[in-house]
Amino acid sequence: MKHTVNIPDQLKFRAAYLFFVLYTIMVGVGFVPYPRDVYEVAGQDSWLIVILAGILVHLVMMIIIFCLKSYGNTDLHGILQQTFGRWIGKLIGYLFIIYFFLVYVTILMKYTEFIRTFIFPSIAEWVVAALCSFLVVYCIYGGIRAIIGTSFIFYLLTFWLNFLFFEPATLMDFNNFQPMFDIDSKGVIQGIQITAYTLLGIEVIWMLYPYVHNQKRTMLYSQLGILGVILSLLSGVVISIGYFAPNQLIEQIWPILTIYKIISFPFFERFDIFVVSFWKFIILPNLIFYAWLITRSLKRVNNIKQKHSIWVVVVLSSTFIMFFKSREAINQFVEISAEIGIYFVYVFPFLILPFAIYRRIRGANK
Amino acid sequence: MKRKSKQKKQQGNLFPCSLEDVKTALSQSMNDNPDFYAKFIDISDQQRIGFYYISSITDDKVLYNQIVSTLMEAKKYLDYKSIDNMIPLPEPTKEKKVDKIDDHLLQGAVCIYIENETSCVNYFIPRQEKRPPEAPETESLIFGPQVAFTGSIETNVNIVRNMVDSKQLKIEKFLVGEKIPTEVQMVYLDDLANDDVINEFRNRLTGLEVEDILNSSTLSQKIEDNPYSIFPQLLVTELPDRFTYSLKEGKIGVLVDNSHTSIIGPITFTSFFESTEDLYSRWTIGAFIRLMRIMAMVLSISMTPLYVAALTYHYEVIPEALLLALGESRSRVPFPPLFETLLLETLMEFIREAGARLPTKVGQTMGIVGGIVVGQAVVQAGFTSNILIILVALSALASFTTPSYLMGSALRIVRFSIILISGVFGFVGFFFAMAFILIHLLRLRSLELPYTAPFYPFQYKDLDESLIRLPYVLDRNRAKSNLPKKVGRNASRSQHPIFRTSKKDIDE
Amino acid sequence: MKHKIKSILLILLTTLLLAGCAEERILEELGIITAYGLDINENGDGLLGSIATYQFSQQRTNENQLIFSTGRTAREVYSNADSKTAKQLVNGQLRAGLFGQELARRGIMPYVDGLMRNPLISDSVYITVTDLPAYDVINATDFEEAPNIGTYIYRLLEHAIVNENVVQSTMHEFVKNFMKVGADPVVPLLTKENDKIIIRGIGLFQDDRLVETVDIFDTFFYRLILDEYERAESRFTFPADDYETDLNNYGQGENNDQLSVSVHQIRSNTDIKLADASDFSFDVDITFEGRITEITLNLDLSDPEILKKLEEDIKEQLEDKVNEILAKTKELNVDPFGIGALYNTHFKKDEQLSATEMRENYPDFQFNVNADVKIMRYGITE
Repeated sequence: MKHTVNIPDQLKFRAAYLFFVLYTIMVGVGFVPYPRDVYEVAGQDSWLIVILAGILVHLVMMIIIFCLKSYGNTDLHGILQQTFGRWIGKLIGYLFIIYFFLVYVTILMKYTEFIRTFIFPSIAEWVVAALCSFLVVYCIYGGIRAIIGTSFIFYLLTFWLNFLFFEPATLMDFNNFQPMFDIDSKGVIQGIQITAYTLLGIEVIWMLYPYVHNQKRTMLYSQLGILGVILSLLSGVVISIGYFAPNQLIEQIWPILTIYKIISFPFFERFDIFVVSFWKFIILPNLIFYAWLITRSLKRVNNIKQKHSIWVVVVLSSTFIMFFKSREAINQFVEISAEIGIYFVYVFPFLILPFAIYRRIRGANK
Repeated sequence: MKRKSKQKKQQGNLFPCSLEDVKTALSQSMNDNPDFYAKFIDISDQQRIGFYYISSITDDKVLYNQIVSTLMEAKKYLDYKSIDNMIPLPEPTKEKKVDKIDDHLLQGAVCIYIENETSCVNYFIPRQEKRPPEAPETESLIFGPQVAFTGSIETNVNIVRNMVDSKQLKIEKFLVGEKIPTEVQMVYLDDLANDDVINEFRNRLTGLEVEDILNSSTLSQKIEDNPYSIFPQLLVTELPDRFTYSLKEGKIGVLVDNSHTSIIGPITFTSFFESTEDLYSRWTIGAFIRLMRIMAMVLSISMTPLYVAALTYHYEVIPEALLLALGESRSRVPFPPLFETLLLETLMEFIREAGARLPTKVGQTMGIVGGIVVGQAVVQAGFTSNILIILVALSALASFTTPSYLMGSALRIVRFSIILISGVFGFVGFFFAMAFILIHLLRLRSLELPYTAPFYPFQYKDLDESLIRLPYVLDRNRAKSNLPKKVGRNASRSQHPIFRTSKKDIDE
Repeated sequence: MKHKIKSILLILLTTLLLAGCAEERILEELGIITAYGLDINENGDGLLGSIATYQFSQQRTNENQLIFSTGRTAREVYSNADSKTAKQLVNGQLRAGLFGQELARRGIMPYVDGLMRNPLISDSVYITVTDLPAYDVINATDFEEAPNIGTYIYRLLEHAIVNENVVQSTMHEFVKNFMKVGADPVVPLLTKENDKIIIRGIGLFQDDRLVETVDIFDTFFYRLILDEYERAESRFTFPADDYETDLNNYGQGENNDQLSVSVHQIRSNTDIKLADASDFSFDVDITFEGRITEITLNLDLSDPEILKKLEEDIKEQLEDKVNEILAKTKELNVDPFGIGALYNTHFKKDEQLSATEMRENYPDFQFNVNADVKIMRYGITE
């Protein structure tokens, strides 16, 4: 494996697309139950937690990009092998691949659960999985250009959902936010942890960095992307707290979808049904990015053709979700993979940081 | 084996020989066609000259008046140089090989051979039925010039040349088709069109290995980036103004002999929803119509599928005011919504196809009979609901607003599959289909350039060339997504009265 | 390879299409429930459900189909009803839930909760109680030009809510107030008059139990405390004697001892603030603006004195009425205005009152009502 990655010029994309990439990979299924999860530990101060966690994510992103920049034109696996040597580097690489796969399966599972709860209670898992996998494979076959394009176009097509919060916002009760700052340090830590689960996805930059045309602007646009996500998340949380009574919010499994339940148009009642189906446009970039991360990593680590490995991913994930039928099992699985995610996404950059600093210093001395 | 090699030798190096030998050789390679003619004349005692031609594709007036009779009156010893001096036609080509001569003859040349010379000369005097340009049939305009390309490439090039009087207009000529070659001309503005794109297009044309091509439409399908796709990736148009406008935008055009249409590339998905009429009308009208077409496209592929999905699975989303009307009109229909819709959509396609196949007068009647009588009867008989009739008619109408016939038809076919999947998976299926189409469009490329430009890769400044249309004072750039050599249009707007006075106050 | 993949995909897609979804719900095969009423049945040991559904026919004669069934639980009522019709009953278009008074006094949350849990049911379903048994009310045969009794109730309530005649009463609102510590739900009260459903007022709930009904006149004042007004209308009546000095009498009617004033385009805002936490005292500040449209005695309204006096009288009456209402809620120990929840927002989590403590303390709440009345204009004549 070569440490540096040379991407042909026509496959590179402008850094501005990183905004959309990060937005579409971070906004996903985790968004819908999030307001409740965070409310359970942080209460009416959840909005504060979102801001704090947001700052943390910004910071981690800064570190990741710092590392990437100090290692030059390479990606996650190049860095791993340069830092830890060939075998340990490969091993960590495999761990990352497993983690990516877990996230992929989680997304698929959650989406299946959505469809089953709201639209087709008895649809088979494999049918939903097949409907998603088909598109994922088709998009991956299109290469990086199609992948970035999908994320961009689907962002444009789904962004307006944010504006629909306007109607629920008029029904908000601002007394629900009182008393402010009534939260202890334990709540803050737990809340940030829960928020961090929801904000997984920034690790995509590890692999996408070599594909960026004007790498100098990577920092700007990826931070903007994160900011966009945090703002969306914040609006979701604020509206959920204001819209529901405190005890009511805790009983909601998918508060954001419940909020959509009161929206109706003269030509289309029951917007929640629309949103659940439309959610495909939101999770599809998620799935595509993680599938790409898996296959691309496999190619970097083991030189397996993406053309072949994508089929393995699709088939394995589809069989995987058949084993998790009950909501408890799914929740457990999701929790475990989210917890693992914390280490891979938030702890790992701090591990690389000293090496990167060392490299910088050495480079400066030379 | 021996015979074969001998024949080969004979074919390769026939000359010098007698006129009769040449006749036999050529006639043989022409498969003894009855319209192959040879004429021999004696100039003097020592010299005989033979003319060989195919009578059906040579201009006999030119042949007899300007070639044969001139030479007959020469009464002196002739060589090819003196012949050329006597014949007022463009420089001939000198040939030594019989198979080359064949090719020339088939393109309307007359071959002149002086007995016992080592070569012969060919003058091109093709007979072409020149047809005057007629009004466009498939892409009719209300406000634009009523001219369409004709079947003759000469006339078409003539039209293009007349419309673009520029030294930069460059024409490259190719012969496509190994068995039956067809003349193809690639036209572009040298100072605008991108070299890589030109090379790409040229390679596609020259690298094409086919026996023959029927016309420009088949040629475009053979050189497209993704031949499996349902969407055309090269624009086929019969409008010279559209053709030349595209050239001025830095695109490349291809004219094909014996074809009423031309090919334009590279193009984007939105090109199919543009018409030159948007440019001729004022910008408000142009912009409105353009947006309306895009909306019509979206409606055309989504209305009936949504109807099927809502009525089969999602009764919850039907608004209270519509519920009764839908329920009542559905209550007598014996089929499920999916079947009902497919039935009516197919009926619509039948009517359209029947109208297109029949002569114009009958076709119109057919439309009325199909549309009104059958439609009415279908509802009366309780086969479909009347609301569906409205939806199907609307989406058919909407699909016909697409200026490109090929794209309009593609959309109608796409609709069938969306209906089918919506009927099986409801809204989930509908959005699956939509996502699939979007990803497919993102994957498509036209001459290696992205098909979805200017949306992805996003070019903010190109939106006025695709989605909307700005007033001309603001339209100062060519679309960047075509990668033209010059983006700016060299139009200084400071001379426009509205900008000249912008520094002054009101009433000054 | 490429062809192989394509054929695999094609096969996959075909099987998908063939597998399909079993859960078809084709519109005309459904009995679409638009409203349902629940009562306690005659024996008192179960529920009596009255379900209004759509019945589609080309004749457009009778789209209203009522199904009655009984059962111990709401779910049983529903499934029993399903066996009484050839159509598949579905509740995705449910517009209103009607609860008979007798049932409502026992508590309705088990049934509302059932609706809440169903993802197909919208949160904007109206929850109402009925004066008569819900069975009787839903049996009304006059529902104007609406196709269906459920649709009629929906339009009736929507109209009343937009016109600010009753309180907002969606299921979301109901559950929200039920769940909130220190707040109780308020819902519209329906009844049948001349074989037609009308709104009679509101019903006050303690938790999920109906405890009191209020008529439509007093509803105005309940809503005044609960929410802002932007275009409402009301009437005030005073003894005519106070105005004797400046009276220019209209005719010699019999009601001359009463002065009634109709005020419309009322804009109001009620601000409740915690004044003192130690003795649970609250300031209730009401701003009230309106225009006079009708007046039973001929007063010279251009006279600022008279206008001022009128304003004073309205203010006094407003304050009296609000005080009376608040006293009544204390007496009933219901908190329709969410004052308890307001109290709790001033304390950290561990110092907040729990639901039972709130119930115990609510009768001790003190209110200091203060209204600010302004009469803006008075029509085109003086």
